[in-house]
Amino acid sequence: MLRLFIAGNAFNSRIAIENLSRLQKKHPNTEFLIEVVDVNSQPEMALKYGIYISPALQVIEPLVSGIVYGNLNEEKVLEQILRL
Amino acid sequence: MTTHAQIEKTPTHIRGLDEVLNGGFPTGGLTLLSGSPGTGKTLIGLEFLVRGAAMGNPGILLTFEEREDALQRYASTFGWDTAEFQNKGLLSVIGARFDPNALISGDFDLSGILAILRLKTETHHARQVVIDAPDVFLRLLNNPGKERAELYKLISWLRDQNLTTLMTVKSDAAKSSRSEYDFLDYMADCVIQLDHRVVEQVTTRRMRVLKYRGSPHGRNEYPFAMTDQGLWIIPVTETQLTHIPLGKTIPTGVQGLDELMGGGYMTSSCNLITGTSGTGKTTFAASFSRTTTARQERVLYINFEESPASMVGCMLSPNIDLRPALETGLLRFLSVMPEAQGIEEHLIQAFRTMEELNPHVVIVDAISACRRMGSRNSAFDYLLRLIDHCKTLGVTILLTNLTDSIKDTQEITGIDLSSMIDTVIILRNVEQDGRFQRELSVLKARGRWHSNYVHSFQISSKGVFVATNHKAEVTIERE
Repeated sequence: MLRLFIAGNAFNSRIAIENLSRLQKKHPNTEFLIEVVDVNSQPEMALKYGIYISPALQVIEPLVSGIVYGNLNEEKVLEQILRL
Repeated sequence: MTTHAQIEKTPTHIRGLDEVLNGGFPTGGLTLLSGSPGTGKTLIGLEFLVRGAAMGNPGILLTFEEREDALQRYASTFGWDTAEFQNKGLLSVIGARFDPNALISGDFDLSGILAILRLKTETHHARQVVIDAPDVFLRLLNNPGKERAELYKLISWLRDQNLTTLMTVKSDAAKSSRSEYDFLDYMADCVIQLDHRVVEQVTTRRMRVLKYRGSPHGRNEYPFAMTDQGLWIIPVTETQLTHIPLGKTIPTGVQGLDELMGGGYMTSSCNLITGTSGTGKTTFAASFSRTTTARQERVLYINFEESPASMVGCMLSPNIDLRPALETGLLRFLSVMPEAQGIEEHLIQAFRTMEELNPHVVIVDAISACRRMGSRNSAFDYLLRLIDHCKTLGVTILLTNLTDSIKDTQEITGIDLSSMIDTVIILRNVEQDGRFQRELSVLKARGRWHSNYVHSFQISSKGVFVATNHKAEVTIERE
């Protein structure tokens, strides 16, 4: 289960979405549950989870929870944290 | 007469600050507060919001440095219940911290902060915002160009929302680290710098307004202190127009002295008794104190030389009993070692005591000791502000000054205060026929006739007696 915080149409947010879907395609056998939160329309979610920087990817379960800030352009970092 | 449009200001309600800023922070503008760690930046931000909240103006504190609970505890040491204001929706604290375990992969920006700020300002209808230490957070971007771009975005947004913003930034004069934020000075409408320095082992805090677009402001360095009720900035009245003019004549309490200077001291005046050690300065001051309290008027005696008990005991010898006035509370001593604190703490202690006592007379014994507050400049800063404050309130001042040699007495104060002093009395011990003779002369008595002669005087177990005849011996019975 992943939660991706984006900021509307911001450049880095778009790249983050693209990078995440590329990863999904690369690992077709892994099930991804992705909730996308736009901090602009849901600022209370940003406040709740303390997301001051975007984009941000929250890893919730079943893995060890953690957070990755940035547009996720380093596939290896992503694979590492998602144990792929 | 042409009238100039004044920019709109938001009062800070911080003691002395609105006076320096000529009204407050620019409404809808950016005020930048820079200073090295521990200079009081966060406190100014916090107090601005707390005072605003107390007046019913909601505010937001976005801090990148402090934890919310730590701030709450900090505020409580000044008697501010931030939790109460938060419950009422008058204060909102956002503690933005970066998860130290977070990973970074690629570029990011501060959209989250903007979204949260927007949410908070809208829900609370907040018009005033404090952004504390954004530099700490921005450094995570690890790219000076990007830091500037993000900060620019944040400031533009705050401006678009017409929010009155105070932003704190760390500065360190010794390092160039501040330079990457120098552009902020140009973007801000108002720039305030804080620092604390150590002069002769005594720490003092100073504030200076570097810039205030479209508004006059105090341009000096102002001492300020953190008191148990918040900050206190001590400006000097910009003009002397607020000083209350010299009033009626009141007795000096020294027999014979009144006749030499048009009847005594004048109310709202500043009087100085100067002389070398053992010439009787404190005895003159005590005499004035006794005669003032005898009229049921209040006296604040600031003593840098000795403890109240020791002084009261010594004054019994020339038959000046200060105990009754101390018991009734008409006389209050403020005895403190000059080197115990910086001039701002000394001033605030004096101002506070004056607020409580509402004295008619303030005595400072001796101003020469004020040099031990740091330097000659510190002594000047202290006395200038104290005299200014007293003159604004119409309080009569008596200063004593210890000089090293007779030659120095000509210098009057040694601290360049002569223009503020209305009356100068010089006391001397002159060796004559194998004994010391006490002599007194009135060097200056602004606005009144005064004797130009040297007069002899004596201090005996019956008090102080000045011979009104020129060079005449005082004839009093010896016991």
